[in-house]
Amino acid sequence: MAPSLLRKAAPLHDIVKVDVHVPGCPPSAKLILFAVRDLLEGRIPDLKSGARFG
Amino acid sequence: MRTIVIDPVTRIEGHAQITIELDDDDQVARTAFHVTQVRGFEKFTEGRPFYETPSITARICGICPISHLLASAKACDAIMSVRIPPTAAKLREALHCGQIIQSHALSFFHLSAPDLLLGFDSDPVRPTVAGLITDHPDKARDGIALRKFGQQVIEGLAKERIHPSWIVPGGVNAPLSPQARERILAGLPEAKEIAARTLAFFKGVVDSFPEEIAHFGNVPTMYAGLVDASGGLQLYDGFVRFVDAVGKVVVPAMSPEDYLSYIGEPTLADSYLKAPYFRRRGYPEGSTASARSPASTSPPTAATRRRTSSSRNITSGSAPWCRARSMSTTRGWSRSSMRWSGWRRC
Repeated sequence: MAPSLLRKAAPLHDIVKVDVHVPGCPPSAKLILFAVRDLLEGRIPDLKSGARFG
Repeated sequence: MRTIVIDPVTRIEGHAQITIELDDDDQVARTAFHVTQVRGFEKFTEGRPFYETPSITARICGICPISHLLASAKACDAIMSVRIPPTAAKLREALHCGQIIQSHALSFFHLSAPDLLLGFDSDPVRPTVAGLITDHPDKARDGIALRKFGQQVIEGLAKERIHPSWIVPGGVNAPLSPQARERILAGLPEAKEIAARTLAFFKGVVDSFPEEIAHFGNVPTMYAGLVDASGGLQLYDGFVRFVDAVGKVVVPAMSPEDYLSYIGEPTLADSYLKAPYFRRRGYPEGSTASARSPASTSPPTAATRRRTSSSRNITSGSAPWCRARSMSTTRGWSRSSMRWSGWRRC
């Protein structure tokens, strides 16, 4: 069955703990690769140099 | 009375469940397809400037944003009452050819080919395009290469592969560069070969699945598609033609602006997707009656609508659909090559 709607729409990070925000709609392939590579090597990627919000 | 629930439905854009109710004789009594997510585009775009809608509606889908961009931009053209420059129309059509190639390659190679090659009953974790790389590397490579070509056509024309800002009300916002044109021309021969051998492969493999073809998604339905003045396939602009299950033309040429006179869009009680249907034939009352129900011109209200099967008037059987995907990929290639060769003289 289709689930009932909640009264308010909430941003994802209000509900789920987000470790890394990878910005872009869509994020560039280069940025995704950079982030995934760091995560695979056990690091939280620093995206400040490669991306900006807004 | 037993209920079978398929959850989640995979290999789709979006989220859905299927409910199948069996009666005491284990026959199917009722089926329903529940879309379990709300998007809200029709509501949250209300009150926004109309020229924002192309880039907003592109976000409906990350695979086919081009289609939404084009439909939305054409609506904006109509609102502004402009006829776009002929070059812009050709460029938009070329972009759509690129999308047909990439999205159909994805649909065929990533979503259908794993079942066709690995078998419908293979271990559920196997049938993905990654699962093809071990046993059918040539098919995996072809699928990735064909999709890549389509994406590169889009990128060459519109700069971004997903949600490009190139398509605007009134036309497109940049010309085609000679370098992009040459790159696309260079990639066309190999793309054509992949499409041709995929079609040949599919024709061959179809004979291995007589049971599936006879029964899976094989109900008589109408068909609708975009055509040009002589009834040939159109990918960007034209009229909508409706044909019945045996190919007889029911509506030869509907103008897109008359859409709501021909197609009803009722909401459903147990799904967040509307259920468009061909108004003249009435809302389908059940799978056997769907193609032949008596004409009814008023759309059903929630109170009067009866439960129906999940088949709708305008759907397609799965096997002809796969073939149509392969053929329109080839068509997308051939229209692209016509366009590109013509432009050598520009």
